[in-house]
Amino acid sequence: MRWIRGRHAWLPHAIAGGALAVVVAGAVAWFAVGRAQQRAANLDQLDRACAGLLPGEQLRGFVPGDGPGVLEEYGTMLDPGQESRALLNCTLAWGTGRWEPEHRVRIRAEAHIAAQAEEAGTEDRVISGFPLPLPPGATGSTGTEDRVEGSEVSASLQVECPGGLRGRSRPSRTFHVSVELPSKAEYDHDVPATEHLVAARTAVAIANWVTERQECGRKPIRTDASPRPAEGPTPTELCAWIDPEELEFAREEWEFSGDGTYNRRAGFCAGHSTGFGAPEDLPVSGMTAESWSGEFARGAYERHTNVKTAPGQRAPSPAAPDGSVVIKTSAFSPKLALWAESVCDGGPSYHRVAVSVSIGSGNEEEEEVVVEGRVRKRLSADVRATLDRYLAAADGWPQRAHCHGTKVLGEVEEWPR
Amino acid sequence: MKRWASRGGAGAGALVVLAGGVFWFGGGYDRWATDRTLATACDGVLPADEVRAALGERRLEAFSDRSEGSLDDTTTSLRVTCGISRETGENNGEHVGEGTVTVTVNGVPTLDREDRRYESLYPEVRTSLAPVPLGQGWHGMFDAKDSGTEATATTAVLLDCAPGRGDLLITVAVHVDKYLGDMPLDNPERRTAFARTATGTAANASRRWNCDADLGKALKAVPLPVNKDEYVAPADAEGTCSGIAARGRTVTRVWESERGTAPYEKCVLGNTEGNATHVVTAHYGPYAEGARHDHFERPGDPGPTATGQRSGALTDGSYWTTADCPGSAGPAFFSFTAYGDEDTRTNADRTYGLSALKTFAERSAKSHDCAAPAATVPGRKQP
Repeated sequence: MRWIRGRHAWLPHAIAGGALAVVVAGAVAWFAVGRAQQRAANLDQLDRACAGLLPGEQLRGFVPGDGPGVLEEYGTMLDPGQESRALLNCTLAWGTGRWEPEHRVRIRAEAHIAAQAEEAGTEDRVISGFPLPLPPGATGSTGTEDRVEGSEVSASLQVECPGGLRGRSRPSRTFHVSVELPSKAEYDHDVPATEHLVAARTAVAIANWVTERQECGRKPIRTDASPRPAEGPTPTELCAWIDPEELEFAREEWEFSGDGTYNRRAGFCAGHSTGFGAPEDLPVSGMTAESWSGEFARGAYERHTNVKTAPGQRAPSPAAPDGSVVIKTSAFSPKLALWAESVCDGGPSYHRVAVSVSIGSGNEEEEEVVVEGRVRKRLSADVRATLDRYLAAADGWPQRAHCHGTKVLGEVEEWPR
Repeated sequence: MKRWASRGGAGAGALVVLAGGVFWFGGGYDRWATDRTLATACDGVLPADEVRAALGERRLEAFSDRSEGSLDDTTTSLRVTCGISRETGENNGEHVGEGTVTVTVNGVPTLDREDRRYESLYPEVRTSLAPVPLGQGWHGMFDAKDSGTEATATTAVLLDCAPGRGDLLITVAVHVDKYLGDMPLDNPERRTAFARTATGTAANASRRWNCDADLGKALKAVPLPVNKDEYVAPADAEGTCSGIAARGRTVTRVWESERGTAPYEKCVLGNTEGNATHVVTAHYGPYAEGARHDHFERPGDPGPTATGQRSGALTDGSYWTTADCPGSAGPAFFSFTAYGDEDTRTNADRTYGLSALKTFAERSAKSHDCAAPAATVPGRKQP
């Protein structure tokens, strides 16, 4: 043992150090392999879950390697022998938290019996944004919500199934799809438009899965039309015709969204002012221009007809002798829309241009605002100027789609009386 | 030698501490404590696997554990109650938040009814619409309530014990918190797991108190109780509401369950606005005994057993009737209750009520192999 105390006194330390290094490296490798295996298992679960209907590619970034995913799936279309109100219901959660899992995906398709469809029909509905054009017999919307970790983006889609649906004890010819996906956006209003689109596409994929297997007797909804890119300070080429200064809209910074590429089935452009407050003369602070051809035109007209916002459905607001009108307003900005029809490359088409103004306190409570006669008249001129500019723009959708025979159908006041 | 001994002792001590740490932090202690709780609570009749399936693999604790009487006791009825609650842990999307299983085992009939003057004899069937019969060989029913953030499933099972030993009524309520938008009771697997806590308890209770009843099959599925929007027109009713006529705008829809052999059945009648206007209920076995106790014994009335009365009206204007059933200590009890102000009721209202009660009671009694119910005469009101 003397040699240890001699020239090679460092040797035992080196051996011990080496052994320790091997143990540590082994532990790290073991841990890393374990994580990789767990993540691979979780990814496999994600791909297989819910009849493969989850948007796996977009969700991969949420899949952890430090714990298994928790999956709950049921529904009469997954297991026809069981009784449930869901045609399909899947929840996949990852990670733990005090109040909720770190991330969670949920999809559900439910056949609505007559009473539910009736109840949905009597609700005060508004046409809210669904970032894909929808054919007749389908309505949808997307939304966002804050979560403890990041946000959540959701899509909701109601689809008619003329052939009838199996799964409920009572007859059903409508079903509802809901999709909730995690988002890394810190706040709900930061969720980008591309994530709304993913939620919408997922809802459409589920709806098509249901309609095919239930033999609804309707064509699948196409998801290839009109993907809308994220908002930005400059409009896309198709929407470059929007010039708030030229149109004498609110003199603030504007943000735009709209189609990045042309699609003959539908077109969409929008812009809104980024300023706050409600100037006295009520300049236009938001606008949208949409066009639909063929079955999407019929679908859009049907959806607006259902909520009484198609042209010719309502008489104009009663005006005082001085031309002023009373607008009941809440948190939603009142809109004035103008419709036109023409024949374009995709068939008979509708165009709808709408302008909105910022009025009211922005609170949830409804309040009455008197809009002077001259302002009301100017709004009509604003919406007409916007439609004319849209139809005439060389790079805009109507010209690209070679629309002709255009006829203006009339204004629609989209505000409560 | 001494030095080696002390080193060995220290090493053994360290090993014991290490083992204890592993046992404690590895969850071994929690599992052991939970096993012990489930083995001892409710006189040891809880089905451990079924309770774990309903509440999840968490540390479980017992509360309100009480036991009295037995099936052999001639003065005090068997009554055992206990609750099991889960420790709230991190939310991983499964078994969210708080959860409890509350169990009551009652010997039937109740012997010490005088002492129970101020309480109901058996757990109340708290259902707004109609509970579903369990079927699969069980005399029992299942009811579900789902609100925004919590869900409750109540299952009741009645065991017909060996001759001379009465019956056993087992009632289990499973209450769980839930994630907003989730519907645990819509999930057939979870719904069945909740109901199995009752059938599992019933099987153990039958053994524990030598009830020796014929048990049903292992539950494979549990039907969905009717929801508020799942009403039908009276003419389309095929279950507990079948045969009851529509009436103007006051009875245009009904909420019903399938008709089976459950000891408690219900049919709810509603108006065009979707509000419940009348409810017709059938009580058998312990529920009939409980209804007579609530309506006659507790207010201090002589009651139908003493007077021989077979039908009549209650102080709140409800009508009741009875039917004799084979092998049962007391007759089945049927009631019809109209909501709203009794003073504004017309003769036509009373005639409709009596007719609805007659139809409901006749059909229910027939499916339970009971005799035809007694006719109810209007105006014979209990004081």
